[in-house]
Amino acid sequence: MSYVIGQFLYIMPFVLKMAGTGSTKRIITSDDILGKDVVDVDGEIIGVVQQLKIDKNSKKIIGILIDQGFMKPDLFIGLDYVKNFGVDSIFLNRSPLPKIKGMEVFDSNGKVVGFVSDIEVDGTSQEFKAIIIRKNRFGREFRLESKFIKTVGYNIILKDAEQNLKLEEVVRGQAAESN
Amino acid sequence: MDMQDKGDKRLTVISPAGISRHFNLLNIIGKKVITKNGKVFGRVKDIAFDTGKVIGIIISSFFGMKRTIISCGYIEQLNSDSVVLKINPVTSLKGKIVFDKDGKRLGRVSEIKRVGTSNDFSEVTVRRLVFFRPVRILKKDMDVIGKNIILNKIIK
Repeated sequence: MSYVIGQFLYIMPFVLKMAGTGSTKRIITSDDILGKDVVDVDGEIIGVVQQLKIDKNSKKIIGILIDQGFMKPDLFIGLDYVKNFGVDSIFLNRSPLPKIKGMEVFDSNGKVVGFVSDIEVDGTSQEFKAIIIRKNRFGREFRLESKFIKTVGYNIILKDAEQNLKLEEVVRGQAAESN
Repeated sequence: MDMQDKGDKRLTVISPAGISRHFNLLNIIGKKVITKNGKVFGRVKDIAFDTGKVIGIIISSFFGMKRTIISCGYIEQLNSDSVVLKINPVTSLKGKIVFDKDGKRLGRVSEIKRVGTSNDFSEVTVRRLVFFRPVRILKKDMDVIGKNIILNKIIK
C-alpha cells in the first residue's frame, strides 16, 4: 500500500506538468463549464450550458449549447461570443438576438404596438436590421427597421409614436407599405 | 371664460386662462407604467397631490401589495395609453442576482441604501442564503446594472 502511494506521489507532478503550460489555474475541464449559468451583457441568465461543441478536424471547442428552459429551443453560442469562463457562470460579450423574440413593443407614448414575432438579421453578424411585429397571435405582421428602435431592454421602446412610424406590412414574404 | 372643448362637446370648460391639453384621472388609473428599459413596473393606482398641485403618481405592483410614488419629474410621457418613465426605479434592484467579475454568484439584493428619496443609491446588501453573512456592495463597484448585476471586481 505504501509502495502504491509512493508511486502515485512520484508520478503526479509529471502528470500535472503534461496537462499544460504555466499555472494549473488556467486549465479547466468540462465539469467547470457544463451546468453553469450563461449570463449575457445585461446580466440576464439566458440558460444553462448543456453541451460543448468540438470541431472534429481542428479538435477545438467551437462553442457551447445552452438549454434555455422548458419549451424553449436550445441555443448555440460560438466561442467568439464567450467573454470568460467564470467560477459559477459563463459570461457572454453580447446579448443573443433570439431573446428579442416575444418582447412587447411600445411606441414613445407607451402604447402597445404589438410583440416581436421575428427578427431580420444582417448576414451572419449579430446585428439585426429589422423586427417583425404582430399585434396579436393571429394578426397581420409588420416590418419595422431597427433605426426606429430607441431601447431594447425588458421590452422594446420605439423612438416615435405609432402613427408616425413607417410600418411595412409583410404579406407572404413581400413587403407592402401600409402607411 | 367659457370654452367648448373641441374633442368632447359634452364638456364645458370654465377657466380664466383656458385649458389646452388635459385628460381625466379615470383615463390614467389602471394604466401600465413602463420604465426606461421597457419593463412594466406596475399600474397607476392614484395621483399624489400637494396643496392642489399634482406632484406624482402612485403605482401599485406585485398584486397591489407594493405602492410607490413616482415624482412628476421622473415621468417622460403621461397619456391615456400608459405612463412612460425617464428612469429605472431604484427599488427594482431588489431581488436581482449579483455576480462578481469572475462569474461568482454572490446572491440576491436584499436591501438598498438609497440617497434620500431620490432615485439614486449608494450601496446594496447582497444575501446568498439566510445563514450566510450578507455582503455590502458599493455602487461604484457595479459594472453592469441590467436584469441582474455584474461587478467590476472579484469578491473573495
